[in-house]
Order: sequence, then structure tokens, then C-alpha cells
Amino acid sequence: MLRLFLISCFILSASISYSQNITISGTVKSSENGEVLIGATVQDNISRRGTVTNQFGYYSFSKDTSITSLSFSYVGFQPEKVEFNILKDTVLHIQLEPLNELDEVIVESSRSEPIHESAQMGNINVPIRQIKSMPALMGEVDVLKVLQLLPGVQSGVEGASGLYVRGGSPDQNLILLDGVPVYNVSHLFGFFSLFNADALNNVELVKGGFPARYGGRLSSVIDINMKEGNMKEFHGEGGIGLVASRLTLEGPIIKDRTSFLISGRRTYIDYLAKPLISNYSDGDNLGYYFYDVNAKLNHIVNDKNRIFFSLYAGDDVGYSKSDRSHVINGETFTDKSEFGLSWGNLISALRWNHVFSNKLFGNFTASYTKYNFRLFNENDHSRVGGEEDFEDYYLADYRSGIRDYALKADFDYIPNSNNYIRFGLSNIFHQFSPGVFAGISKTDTLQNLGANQMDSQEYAAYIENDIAVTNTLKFNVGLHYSGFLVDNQHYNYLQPRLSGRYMLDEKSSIKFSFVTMAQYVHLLTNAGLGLPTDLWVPVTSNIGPQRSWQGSLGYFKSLTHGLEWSVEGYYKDMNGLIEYQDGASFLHINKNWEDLVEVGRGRSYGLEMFVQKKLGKTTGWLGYTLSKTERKFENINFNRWFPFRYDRTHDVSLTVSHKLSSKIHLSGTWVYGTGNAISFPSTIYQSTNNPEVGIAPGHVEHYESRNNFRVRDYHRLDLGVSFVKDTRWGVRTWNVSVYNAYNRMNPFFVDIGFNQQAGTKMMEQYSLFPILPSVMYGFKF
Amino acid sequence: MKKIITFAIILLCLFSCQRFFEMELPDKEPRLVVNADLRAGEPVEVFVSQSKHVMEVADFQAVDDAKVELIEDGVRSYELSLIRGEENNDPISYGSDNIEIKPGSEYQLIVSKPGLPTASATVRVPFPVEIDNVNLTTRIIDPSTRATITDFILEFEDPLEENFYEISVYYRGEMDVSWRDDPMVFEELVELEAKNPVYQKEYLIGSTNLIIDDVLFNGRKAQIDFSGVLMPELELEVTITLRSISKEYYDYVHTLALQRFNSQDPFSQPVQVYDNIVDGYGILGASASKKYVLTHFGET
Repeated sequence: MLRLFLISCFILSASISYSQNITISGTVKSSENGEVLIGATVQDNISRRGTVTNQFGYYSFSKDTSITSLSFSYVGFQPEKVEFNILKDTVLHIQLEPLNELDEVIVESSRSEPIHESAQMGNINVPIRQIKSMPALMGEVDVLKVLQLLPGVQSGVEGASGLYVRGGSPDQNLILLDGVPVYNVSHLFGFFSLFNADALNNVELVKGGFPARYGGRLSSVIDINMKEGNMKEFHGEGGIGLVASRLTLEGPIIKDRTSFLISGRRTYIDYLAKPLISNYSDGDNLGYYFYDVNAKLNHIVNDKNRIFFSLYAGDDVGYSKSDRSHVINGETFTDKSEFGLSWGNLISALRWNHVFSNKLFGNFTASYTKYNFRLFNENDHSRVGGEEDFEDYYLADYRSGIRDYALKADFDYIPNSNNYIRFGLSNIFHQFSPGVFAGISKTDTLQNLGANQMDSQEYAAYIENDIAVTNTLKFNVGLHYSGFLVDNQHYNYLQPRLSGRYMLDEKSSIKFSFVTMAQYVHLLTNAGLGLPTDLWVPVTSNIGPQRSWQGSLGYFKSLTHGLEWSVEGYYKDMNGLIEYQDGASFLHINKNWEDLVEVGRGRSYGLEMFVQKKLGKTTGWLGYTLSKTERKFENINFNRWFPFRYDRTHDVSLTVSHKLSSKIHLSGTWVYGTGNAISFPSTIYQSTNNPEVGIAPGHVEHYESRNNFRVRDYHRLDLGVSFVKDTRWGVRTWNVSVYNAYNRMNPFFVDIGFNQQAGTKMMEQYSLFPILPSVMYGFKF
Repeated sequence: MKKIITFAIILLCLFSCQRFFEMELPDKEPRLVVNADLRAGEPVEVFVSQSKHVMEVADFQAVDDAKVELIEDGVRSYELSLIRGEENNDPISYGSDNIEIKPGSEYQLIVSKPGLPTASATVRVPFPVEIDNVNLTTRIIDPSTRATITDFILEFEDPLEENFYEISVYYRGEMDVSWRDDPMVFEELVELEAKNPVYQKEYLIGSTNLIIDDVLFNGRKAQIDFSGVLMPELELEVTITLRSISKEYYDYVHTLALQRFNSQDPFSQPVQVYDNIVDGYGILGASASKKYVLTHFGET
């Protein structure tokens, strides 16, 4: 397999035609804060060929004439045109001026690479400012909830931030924060994601046509980059909301050389509700909060070297404490109990950018990631002062977690304007602790019930090339080779990737892609809520990797006024998926997880339509997905295909942001989706009577199939208005938003209940959020 | 500012509560429910009732106006007649003493009732498998009470095709006692526990019989180790029954037992109970058994 990979790399490299070229390279940044502009377009006005900046704002462009006319552009920035004659390779750093509100309406050419020109398909870049302009649940802007509004991406249940991309599960999303994989991305049981929008620079979603540089997950890549910190001036921004407040500070440590960014967020429901809870709970102390901190240091060593250190730390904590004592007939009874639930991530990365030459750029990353979950219950009862003293103590402690130690090297090699080669290597040492239970009592100690820690190695190598065959035909062809060592078992797969674009005319193109993917981790979940009890587990000698192939075909067109539209069809086939067996429960903590799951297949196919307006007073998009997603397991549903729980036949999302004036911004979101599929019995009937095999007289609850029943369709309208005012010290914003504006009772879960009045059983639907207004005060200085 | 935040918090508290309301479930037409286990060499008994909507009360009555027909190997047809209870004359089941269920034969059961879809099912009766040997050893597990347990080793030759078995142990013993003229009889179906955890499903714990498949010994000599408690210090006639059961019945028992076992766990995955009745619900199973009788004195 490795030999095949090396031969393929040689063939890929050999396709490059070498010629005498002049190379212009450098970075594109914002003149306002020195922040790099990711995905900015660099276009040669003579040959009409171009390139885009990479994740570090670096570009390299080769041409065969000395007369040079280059245009640099990026959404929200004034384009820059540079004309000069050059005789040798040149370094050219560009700083683009941000547009003001008025310019933005007029200037239409200020955009990133148009949708129809890129060879890649199935990827969407959502500007952070657009994310921040949208209505938010309880005033908290959530990056992942915005991604749920894109075609091909479905949300799970009400309020949760899980992503189901083209029929995949949340574990099949590779969520990268500054290049480091993040496992649990939820706060507050999934209602908020852990990404603080104030600290982010760029968010990109890839749902098909995966370039070879990405691997390790089947369904999507969500590549999130933190801001680097303002190199020019000290600035801050923040917000005070109903449930949480946040503050971000950034600025230069050494101007134009070293910058920092630190951003923090904390909920304070626990403080606000403390008197109320204490009153209702007889003095008990209970509450819940989450916090997160993002920090980044960025140092430009010289023109060729740059170092970044980024850190994320966050925890969710739920607690309940009670301490009671009373005296009866001279005996003192004491009853102490403490319950705790906590989970959190620590993500740290040290990155070094090095420009080896004007054609070769390198990035080296060392990272450490930790995710921990703990649930404990401690009880201490005592009786003192009577005839016989008594004490009873019990601690039940359940922990799970993952630690990753990773090293990665990525290179961009741009030999000429027709080829853009990326290649790299990575290795991750995983330590999985998939659920360990310890019980300690006064008389007994029970430890390590459940699975033991599992160590494993995951490695990958890739090479890809963006090849411009002609002005109209462009390919991205690549290979991703990855492997996993666990339990003396070595899994490895070569995953070819191909995507292409053929320009039909100057404004429209046809794109296609075929990718294969492999994934070496699984997520054990049975609630779909993104609960912290979900367990990340590696492949083992019994449970193998997940694999998939996906083919897609689409038509893309750019119109005037910053309007783009596309239609994409896809088919995805997955195998090696795991699912809890019939009757399995995550309360079965005494069992090895491998004994609770089934391994099977999945398939998803659909059509996605997307219209987006990026420029002007009014921006937003309309997305529609028509799709079908199914699963098949030998011992579930009698080996017949059944709908995936989040199979959504129709999914519509409409988002609009409108600048009424420079002081008032309006926004709205409307979503509609076919109801989720759940398992619900339709019929009951008499069973046999076989007490000798444990079957007493009774009845059978008959399910037509797994996930046989559709809950009510989901739809919701969110509205928001922001009042912006310039002040002496900066800008302040009042944001008022209404979640679920027309108070739709959307299903959260359904159950069988009993109608006391009628004396009959009934089906009950529980809803979580009715109309939910919120207000947030924002500031920026 | 303070007023706004206070107002907003009150609003949040008011609106963030769970709410529920009643939902309509689509109607589900009733169907015939047919439950039968065709046992080679034993009279046929078919239980017929009607299904109900999941929201109805689980109170089932036997259907007394059904036409029940059993067809053997697609040739011979028998019509079964209604059997009523001796005490209250309530309908119980449909049966016939004229039919002899034959191992290896295929039986089709057709049940019809005016106004309901005709239900049908087909099953092939497995061949019985001879027990080669049974080894019993009784040992004391608690010296203070002299409580004993008996270990069984059951041996038989498993035929090549996929097979399923139900194992049961029954004992009978007599003891002369001073206060009775006739001997006191001790007899019981023994609660069995398999030594191999593969056969000892937690949802079947408490059942007397073991239900196993032949995945671990397909086509080879099978040796099944299990244990049970016999009456101690008494000469017993112990009957070990090895019943070859149809796959349909095996799947039905396992899935139904699992559904019952998890019925109170809200976090468990739903369990679909296997059924093989076309246009109806229930199970048509079949079995054929061989017995092995030995005398055992429960003393170590």
C-alpha cells in the first residue's frame, strides 16, 4: 500500500511541466489589524489566471513574462491592483483596506474566488461577520448553528449544535481549531458550541470533494481559524447577554511583529438563579455553568519565519451539594451528598511557518488535545451519640476521556501557475479512556469496571495538486494514505481524491468529484443530543474503521450584484458504521462497548440547491436539500434498510441580513425540515405464553421498522435587530433577537402518556423552546 | 439596563419550561394475531387473537369465528376447530387431534376472519437430534447449609445445517414420609444456567430452559455445560430434553425476552420482536425433541 502511495506521488509530481518562470510570493493581510486574509484572490490580469492565499495568508504565483498586473481582492476589502515590470523572483506583501459600509454596496469586484472558478466543490466559506450578524439563541452567536443552515447540513434535535452532513453522523465531522481536531464541541448539553465567534477569523465547511490534505473523518471538514491578534493597535470587544458574557482583547506586544489575543466567556445562570434554587431546594447548593478561554500568540520572526501558539480551554460544570444534620433523642444524624458532572476540552497548538523559497511554504504543528468527562456521586451518612455509632460512605465515579499528542508537517509547493502542490505528513498518538467506573464504599472497592485505557497511533501522508490543464479545465487530484495501529492490529488505506471544474463560460462551470475516506474513531451515542456521555472510541481488532466513497456533480454560476447559485447532486456510501444493538443502553456501563454495538452500512443521496448573496445592503442565502439517508445492520431491523434518525427529505433554510442604515441592522432566519425519524410502536398484540423460557403472558409492542415514525415537521423563524452607535470610546451595539418568533411547538421528544380525564393512553410531544426573546449588549473599542 | 436584564431573565424563566401536548397517531387497522408452536408428535394448538392500536388497552380476547387451516407439505389440508375452556366456555385456541406433526415436513397455516386480512405463515419442522450422553456431577456449594448444585455436560452430534435448540431438565423423585400413606412426590422443571456466557443472555436469566444456536459447534460434536439445582439426597429420575427448534421461534423468543427486559429503561434502544405471519402478527414456530432419562442420586 505504501509503495502504491509513493508511486502515485511520483506520477502526480511528474505531471508538472517545468519552465523558466518568474515567481511573485508574499502574504495578503488586512491593513487595519494585520490579520491575514485566508482565501484572498490573486489574479493575473494578463493571463486571467490566479491563485488564492492559504490558511496563513501566503500566496505564490509564477508567470513567464516580466510585465506584471496583479489584482488582490477579498470580501469586504478594497481590491488592490499592482502593475510593474519584474526580471527576477519577487516578494510582494499586500495589505488590503477594509471597505466602509457605503463602499461595500458599490464595489462588486471585491470578492474572494468566485464559486464557479474553484476546482473544489462541496465547500462553503462563511464570513465571521455574517455569522455574527444573524439572530442567536439566547443572544449567543453559534458558529455551528449557522453551519446547520447550509444545504446538505442538518441539525439534530431542537437547539443542539450537532451537525449531520450529507447523511453522516456528528462523529464523522473533522472539526479543526487552528488545525487541531476537536472531539466534543458542545457546551450546555449541545445547545451551544464551544467556539466563541469573537475569537475567530475564518470558518470553512467542506462536505464533499475533500482535498487530499484532509482525512480521518467521512462526512465533513469544518476548518476554523482563530484570529491572530491585532498587530497594529490594542482593541477589545465583548458582549453582555442573558446567559453569558464574553470579552476579547487583542493587540501588539511588539508592533507589526508580535501580537496576542485572549478571549473569555462564562455563563452566569448559576449565580442569577442561586437564590431561587436555594429556596426551592431546601438550602441545597446546585447549579450549572460553562466557561471557555481562547488565547493566541503570534510572532513574526522574520520574512521567512513565523510562530503561533494557540490555546483553548473550556469546561462545563454541573454540581449539587447538600449537607444536612439533625438531632433526635440525643443522636446526631448527618447526611452529606455531592453530585458532579463535568466535561471539558484543552486544545493547544504550536505552529511554525517557514518560507523555504518563493515556491515552497511549510507549516509545522505540534499539538496536545485533551477531552475529559466525569460524573460522580458521593454520599456520606453518619449517626453519632447513640448506643452505637454508624457511618456509611459511598462514591460512584465514572470517567472517560481522550488525549492526543500530534505532530504535523504541511507544505505548499507552487512550481508554476498551472500547478499548486500540497503535501504533508502527520502522526497522532491517541490515548482513549472509554468509560471507567469506580465504586468505593466503606466496605468494598470496585474499580475499573468497563473498558481500560487504549493507546493507538494514527498516521497520514498526502499529496495533492491543483492542475490547470487549460483556462477552462482544472483538476484537484490527490492521494491520502492513512493508517492506524491498535491492539496489534494495523489498518491502512490509500484514499484517492479527484475533483474537477470545466468552465462553460466566464460565469458558469460544471464540477465533479469522487473521494474515498477512512475513519479510525467511532462515537458511541444513543441520544443524538451531543450529550457528554457520548463515548469516543478507537477502532479495535473487533470493530474496524469506517469507510466511505462519495461522488458528486454540480453546476455553479456567478451572477451580478454578488449573487451566486449552485446545484449539486451527491451519492455517498458508508460502511463500518456502528450503532447500538437492539436493547442496548448506555446505562450498561458494566459491559465492554464492543459487545453493545453492531457494525453496518449507510447510504445517502440528494440534491442541494444554494443561492447566496455576498455583497450589498442585503446579504444572505437560500438553501434547499432533497435527500434520503438510510442505514443497514445485520442484527437491527432484521437486516433491512431503515431511515437514519436524521434523514430529512426536505430541508430549507433562508437567512437574510439587511443594513437598514449604518445604525440599524436587521436579520432573519427561517428553517424548515421534515420531521426526524424515531422508533415508535404502532401496534400491540398478544404474545405467546412460555414461562419456561422467561416469557410470561403479556403483549408485544410492534415496531414497523427502526425509525419508523416521523415526528412533526420542524420549522422556525428567528428575527434580530441590532442598533449600532459610534461612541467616544468605540462602537456599542444593542442586539435584540427573538428565537422561534411565531412560537412553533417543535418536537424535542415524544413519549406515550396517560390521559387521566379520558382514561386512555396518548402520545405526547415535548417541546423545548417556544418564543424566546433575548437581548445582548455588545461593545467594541 | 438593570430593568431590561431583570425583565429578560423573567421572560427566559417563563418560556424555557418544557411543554407537551397530545399528538395524533395514524390509525392502524387491526390484524389477526397467530401464535403457534408445532411440536412433532404433539397435538396442534393455534392461538388466534386480534392486534390493537398502541394507544388501546392491552386486553386481548381469543377470536372465536376464525377459519384456521393447516396444510402439510402443500398437499394435505386440515381445518382446525375451536377449543373452548371447560370452566367458562370461553374460546381458547384452535386445534385438532387428527394431525400428526412430522419432522422435516413443511406446514402452512392460513387463518381468516371476515373483515380482516387473511394471515398466513409457513414453517418447516426440524428433525430431532439424539442426545449421545449426559454427565451429571453434584457438588456442595455451601458447606454450612449443604446446598448443592449439579453440573450437566450434554453431548450430541450437531447436523451440518444451521440449528437451534432448547434444552430443559425435569426431575421427579418420591420420598416416603411418616405423615402420609403414599410417597411424597418432588418434581420440577430445573432453572438452568449456562457456563458459556454466550448462551447465558441476561434477558433470559430466570427462565428454566436454555435456548442456544449452533454457531460455536456447527456440524460437529456439541458439548454444552450448564448447571441447575436438583432435589438433594433423593433418588431422582432426571429427564433432559433437547428440542430442535425452528429459527423463527428462536428469533421470536430472544427478541421478545429482550423487549420485555428493557421495557423500563428509557435509555435503551427499541427492540423489534421477530414475527413471521404474513398480513398479521405473531409467530409460527416448530420443534421436535428427544429425551434422555437417567437416574441420579443428589449426593456428592
